Amino acid sequence: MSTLFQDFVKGIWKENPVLVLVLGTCPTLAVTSSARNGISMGLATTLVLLGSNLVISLIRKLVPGKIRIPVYIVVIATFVTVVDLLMQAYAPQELYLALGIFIPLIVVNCIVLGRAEAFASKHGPLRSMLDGVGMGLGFTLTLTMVGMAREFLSSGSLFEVKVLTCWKVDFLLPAQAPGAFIIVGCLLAAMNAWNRHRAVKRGELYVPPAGLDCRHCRICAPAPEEAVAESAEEK
Amino acid sequence: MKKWQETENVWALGLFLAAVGFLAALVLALISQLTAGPIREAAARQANEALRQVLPAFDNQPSEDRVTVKLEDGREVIFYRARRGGELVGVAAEGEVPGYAGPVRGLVGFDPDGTVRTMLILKQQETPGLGANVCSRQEKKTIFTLFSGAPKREGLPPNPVLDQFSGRRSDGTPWRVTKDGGDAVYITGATVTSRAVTQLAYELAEAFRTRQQEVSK
Repeated sequence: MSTLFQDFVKGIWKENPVLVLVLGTCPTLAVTSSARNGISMGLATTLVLLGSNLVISLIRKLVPGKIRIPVYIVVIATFVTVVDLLMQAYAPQELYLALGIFIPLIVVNCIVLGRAEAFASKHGPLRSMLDGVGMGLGFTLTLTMVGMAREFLSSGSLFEVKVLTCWKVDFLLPAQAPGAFIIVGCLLAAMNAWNRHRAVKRGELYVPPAGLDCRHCRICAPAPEEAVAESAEEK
Repeated sequence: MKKWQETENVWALGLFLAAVGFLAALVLALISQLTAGPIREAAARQANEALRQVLPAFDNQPSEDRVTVKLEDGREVIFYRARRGGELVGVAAEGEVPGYAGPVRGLVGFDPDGTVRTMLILKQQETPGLGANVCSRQEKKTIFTLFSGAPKREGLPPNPVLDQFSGRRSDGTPWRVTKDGGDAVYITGATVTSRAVTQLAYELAEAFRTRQQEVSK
């Protein structure tokens, strides 16, 4: 039971896809100019993650290892197209226009393929679904946070509601790409600082979660033992 | 025989991929069939919503009752005719001009005599916070209106740049922003977008004036 719960919550904080795994940075920077865009993009990605993780975990024993990546991509692309069609039909039109090209681009979001390869291809459907939803929610929360920060710093409003009514002239930096980089960078730094603070308090050496960075990704890299050895040497 | 998962037989791999692709295509065909109707409805609702905002009350289907004309430089202007009881009560013109970052697409509603009623921007990619403000007609919500309820308003939320064309008629001299010697106000820092919007309003008004015969049938 506790592992099921862990599968779900780890995506929200301990293995947050944006702040810890640093995956899916493109949508994080591009669509978060307002809190509403952030939350919608996050939810769309969550839906794709849930579907693709479920299907990939169901077919994981059928797929020959040699062609697993193309098969995963087909599955993911299918779900993304479904989400795209559904949004076109049922989401508010201006929201669909605002997210625009970034909905089809969920296909190439590293989080989705990353979870398929790192989790769904090794675990059962239930755990994979929980992992997908947890990761998706972590992504959604981070995107909403970045969106809120950018929206508030640029015009003093949250979710298109002016909170500081005396704020008349928009401040452009946070609403544009450079501001996105600065804010995401601050969040990453804060996350690292917090984790280090915790580790130091426990009297341990802070080590980023193993097996979660690029060096440990097995999609195109050597076997995991070598990679771990490499990173140990570096330290 | 080797385990299926470790097979390296190109034909088997190819067939498997083809099968996966085929299944995916089937699923997508099904979903696309199911959503085709709602997507069309959403697009039509969007189009009609914009037309209702710039035209007086009508009882026909302006999005069906339209003429497309070509300007001298090849760009297209679409006219939508609004009728009530068979009589023409207004015309909306839709056109496009280059803005600061890509095309700015707008819709202008006219009275039958060519007077501008309202202007609306349908599509733009201008700078958020500057050019986008010139184009947006979004209701300004604050924490105070959130609790007390927004004041009831007739028609569209105001926009100083777009609203200034209401009541104007084209007489053949181009409208310009004050910076270029005209009388149209513009927003500092968003001159290019303001210019584009002014040019769009003028071009549509002028297109309507010169083709009134043809359009007001």
